[in-house]
Formats: sequence, structure tokens, C-alpha cells
Amino acid sequence: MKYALPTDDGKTVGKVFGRAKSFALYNDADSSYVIAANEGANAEHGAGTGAAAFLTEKGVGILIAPEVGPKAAAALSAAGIRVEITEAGKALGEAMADVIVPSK
Amino acid sequence: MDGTSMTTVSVASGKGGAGKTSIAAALAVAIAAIPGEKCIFADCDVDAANGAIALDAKERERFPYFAGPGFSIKANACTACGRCVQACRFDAIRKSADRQSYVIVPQLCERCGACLDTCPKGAVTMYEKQAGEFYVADTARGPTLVFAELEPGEDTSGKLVRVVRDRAEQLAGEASVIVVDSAPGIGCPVIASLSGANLVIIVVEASVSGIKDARRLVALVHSMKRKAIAIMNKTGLSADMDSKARIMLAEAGIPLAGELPFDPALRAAEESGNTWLSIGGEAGDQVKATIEAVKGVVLSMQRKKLNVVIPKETL
Repeated sequence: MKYALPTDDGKTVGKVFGRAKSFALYNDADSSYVIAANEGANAEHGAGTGAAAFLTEKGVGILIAPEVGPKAAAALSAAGIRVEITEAGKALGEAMADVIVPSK
Repeated sequence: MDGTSMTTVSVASGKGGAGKTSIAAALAVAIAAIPGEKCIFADCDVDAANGAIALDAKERERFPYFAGPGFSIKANACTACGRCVQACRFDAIRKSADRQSYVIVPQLCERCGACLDTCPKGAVTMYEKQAGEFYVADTARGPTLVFAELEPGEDTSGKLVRVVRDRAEQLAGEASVIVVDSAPGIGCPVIASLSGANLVIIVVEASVSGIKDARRLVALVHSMKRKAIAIMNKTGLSADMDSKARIMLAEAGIPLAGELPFDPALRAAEESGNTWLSIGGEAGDQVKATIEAVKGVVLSMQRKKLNVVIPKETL
């Protein structure tokens, strides 16, 4: 399963989704972890749906974020990406640990 | 700065003219007046940016704002084949004065780029188009103001709201409060105004359209899982409307911080360059009590920062 979290500083959960500067992407299958720049952060319109498309392309299954806008929520739902709510400012590792259940 | 250390309060209404800017200005002035508090007013209602009037602002710095790429046609490369004219959905491409090529009228161009895609000669080029400017201003009433102005024909966007809020966050220190004056409606600029806000103040005009638009805003606020409190404005004109507004808020579970009566004195205060806090009489008392209540919620959030329980006895 691939997990994504919006982040502005690369360390903590950002407070916005679509205009987050980057996304932390974690894959528990191979334990890979990357910070990918969100190219849609400066879009005039449609930043939320653009970010949802970006996560879909990356094959993300679960988004961990403090909030998503209504259109982004619809796009994520259509792509089968589940949204787990977390708190802005939380350390990325901590926010992931809240959601990821270790496999036996 | 990650923007999580300060407290952001967004004032929105759904309907335009409900009293957002006046209430946001009064709140910002009240917070800035507290010793040791710093307040930044982020005017994100860019199509009708009037925070500068409400707060009596004096520009300190200005910066260019680039929305996205603009498009233009190189006259010497254009063969006037007309394909771009066919492709343009906004009728923004016209014959040049010598009729030998086409030109793009910037005020009509929506910057979709269809001309760039269709031109067989590569005559369409992109350039960085300045869409407006944004400003930092000191105000006579305390809060520092960030606002923007757009060139004619340019529209506001989530991006511009983000630019204004980013600047406000850079100016704000650790313990500051940012008051965001949102655009009307529930579209892109409003979503960008509400996103990440610690508290949303929903201004409900006690009228048919005011209640209807506020209800749509409530749905947006709920979908974004933001904490919200409401202020009713222009009450006392119709007991029926007042009661419908109260019921709508109660059903939505939004606590009501106060009701402001319709009173020409409020408008007169603005015409003489003051905020609503300056007036006396019953309306003045209501304004002060309501702003005091909201201020209390904001300050307690600032202290606790997370999971604030808002007293619901006002319902």
C-alpha cells in the first residue's frame, strides 16, 4: 500500500492539501520513502483535483491529510483513495504511524 | 514558516454584501488592540478588495503578481490562416491593424492555450503575464494589511488567495492572529481562503438569499471539517427571516456568537472612516458583545491551538 501526506517543510504535515509544496510518499511494500514536489501547488484553479490526479498516477491508496476540499474529495473517492484525517503540524512519521497498522 | 504556529480565522458568508469585511475589520482591530497581540488582515476578497478602506491603510511595500502564462502571436511568423481564431472559445483573437496577421486581445484572453496547440507555424508564444500587484500596508487602526489588486479582466483565484495568505503568514509571528476576509460564494478562492483555517466565522445575512447562500457555505465548511461559529447580520427587519437563520444554524450545529441588528448607524460609521466598534446605541452594544465573544474564542484557540471546545449555550 502506498501512503501520501501533504508537507510544506518535508518534516511535518502541511495544513493544506492541493497547494501543499510537496507530498511525502511511503510504500510499505518496499519501505521506500520520497518527498515529491507538488507541481500543481501554484495552479490558478483546480489545485485540489490536480493533486488528486497526481496521487492517482503515483498509485497512492491512502491519503493522510488534515483536510481536503470538496472537489478533491470527490476525485480521490473516484480514484479509490481513502482519506485519513490527521492534524497539521504533526511529524510525518507520527501521522503515518497513526494510520499504518503493522502487518503480522 | 509552516503556518501552523499562528491562528487563522477566516470570515466568509456565501452571499456578497452580508457584512464580511466590516465584521472582519472590527475583529482584526479588536485583536490588534490587545497588548502583546499581533494581527494581520489578509484581504482575500480580491475582486472587491476593500479592507484598505475599512482599515485606513497606507501602503508599505508592493509586489508583482503573476497568475499564469499569457499568450501572444509573433506577427512575422503568423500567416493569418485563422486556425487559432477557430480554436479560441473566448473570441479573443482579432485581425491586426494591417490585416496581415492575428493578435490576441489580453483583456479577452482566458489563457487556455488552445491557440498555442493549434498554430501550425509556431507563431504563438507564451510570456509571464503580470495579472496584478499585491501589497503590504500599515493601517491607522492597528492590524497590518495584505491585499491585492488585479488588472482589468483578470479574475481572482485560489492561487492569488494563497499568495496573499503566504505573505500574511511571513509577516505574522509565532503568536499572531491572521484574519482572512474571504471572497463571497463557495468556489475556488473561498476554498483557498478556508483551507487550513483554525476557525471559520460564517456571516449570515438574515434574508432569503443570505440564508440560502450561508447554508451552502455551511456544507462546504463541514466537508472541509473546519470549526465554525456564526454571526447573524441585518436582523430585526423580519422576525421570520431571523428565526429561519437561527434554525438553519442550529440544525447545522453551528454556534451563534451574536446577532447584529440592521442599523443605518453602522453604514454611517464606515462612511466616516470608522469600524463598527465605534458606534453607540443598541447596535453598538451588540457589535461589541459579538466581537468580544468571537475574540474570546480566537484567543482561547490561540492558547490551546487544538481541539477547542466552543461553548454552545448561545444556541
